Amino acid sequence: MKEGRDGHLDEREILQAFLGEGDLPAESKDHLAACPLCRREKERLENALASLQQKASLFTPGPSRPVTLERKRRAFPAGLPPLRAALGGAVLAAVAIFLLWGRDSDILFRNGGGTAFPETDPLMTEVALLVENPLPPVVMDMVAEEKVPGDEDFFHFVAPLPEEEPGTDTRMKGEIPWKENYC
Amino acid sequence: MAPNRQPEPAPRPGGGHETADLVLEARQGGQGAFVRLAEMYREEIYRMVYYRTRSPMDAEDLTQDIFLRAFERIGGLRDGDAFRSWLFRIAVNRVTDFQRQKRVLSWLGLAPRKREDEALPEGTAEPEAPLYLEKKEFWENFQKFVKRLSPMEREVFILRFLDHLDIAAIARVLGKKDSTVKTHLYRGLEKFRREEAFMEFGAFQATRAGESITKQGTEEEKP
Repeated sequence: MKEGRDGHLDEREILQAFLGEGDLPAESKDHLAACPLCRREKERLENALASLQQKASLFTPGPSRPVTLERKRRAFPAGLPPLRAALGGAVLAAVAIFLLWGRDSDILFRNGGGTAFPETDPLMTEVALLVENPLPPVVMDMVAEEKVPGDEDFFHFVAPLPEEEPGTDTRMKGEIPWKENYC
Repeated sequence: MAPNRQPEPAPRPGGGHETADLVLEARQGGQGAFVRLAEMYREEIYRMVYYRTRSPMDAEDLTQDIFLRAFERIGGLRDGDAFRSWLFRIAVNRVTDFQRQKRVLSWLGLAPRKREDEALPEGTAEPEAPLYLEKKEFWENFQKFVKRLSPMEREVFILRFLDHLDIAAIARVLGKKDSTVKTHLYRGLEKFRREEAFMEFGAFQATRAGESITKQGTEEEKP
């Protein structure tokens, strides 16, 4: 037993006594049995709790409907949107978008619909320009990519064919065997 | 006043034996037996829900739902004598789910408008107005008090002092040890003693309304 309150039970012991005197040490139990002051403290707590119970009971309405064993469809409270319907709609919309995306995703982005990779657009435009508009003819000529008509003599002059030598292949003489057969 | 005025468990409407027999019958598919059980415990469960929601409409809906759940699961109840704690366990879980749902809806901004069923109805007779105000004040004070308790302290406190369950039954309902329940109850009581609520409820007996309650309490105790 605590000695903090002139030998009386302290708050902890009063609470213990209230919850069950069995948990109190024998000395405290004896004191409680003999001391009217400690008993009054315990009774104050009991009264307060009894009052709480009585008020709670008085200020609680009774049920008005009997219990039935049929599950009723619960109406949505006023002001609350039909949550299930909203969720169902959202799921349907998500499925529709997924299907459209999976099947015709290229349609969405073809011709004016934008591209899937907008960051490569400038590069592809440049490549297309190069394919459609090759280098001017003069430049192509310089790099020998394009033959200009009537230049055979010029080439022959710049790089003549080797002279005919005995025992050399006919091809070396400038005769073209397949030319005879096919021309 | 009697030296030990701890709350006694609420009297069982039909007695323990009757409950156990009805549970046995209901387990074998007897719908009538379950309806009888529901009649016996309906008010107790309704009150239990009301103490936690303080909305008569929610209490009605949840009570109905709790009994439906109990009906669906009664096949799994082995001990008929444990029906009351088993039913309270279902009720506590259902109310917890409901409050969680409500919090989520409120967070999403979908919470239903506050019901006005606690408001003083128009045309209420003059003498009833003070009682209404007293009721309002009581629940506001109670709410203030329980907000200071941890969730477990709150549940244990309400189960013990408002629902009248003993410590062993509370332990069964919450799936805790008796010692754990006692610890939470002790902490709850400690806070109760320190609160203004203690003084208010303690002093309540002296008021006029207190006299009427005491009178009613005495009448209720009569068989």
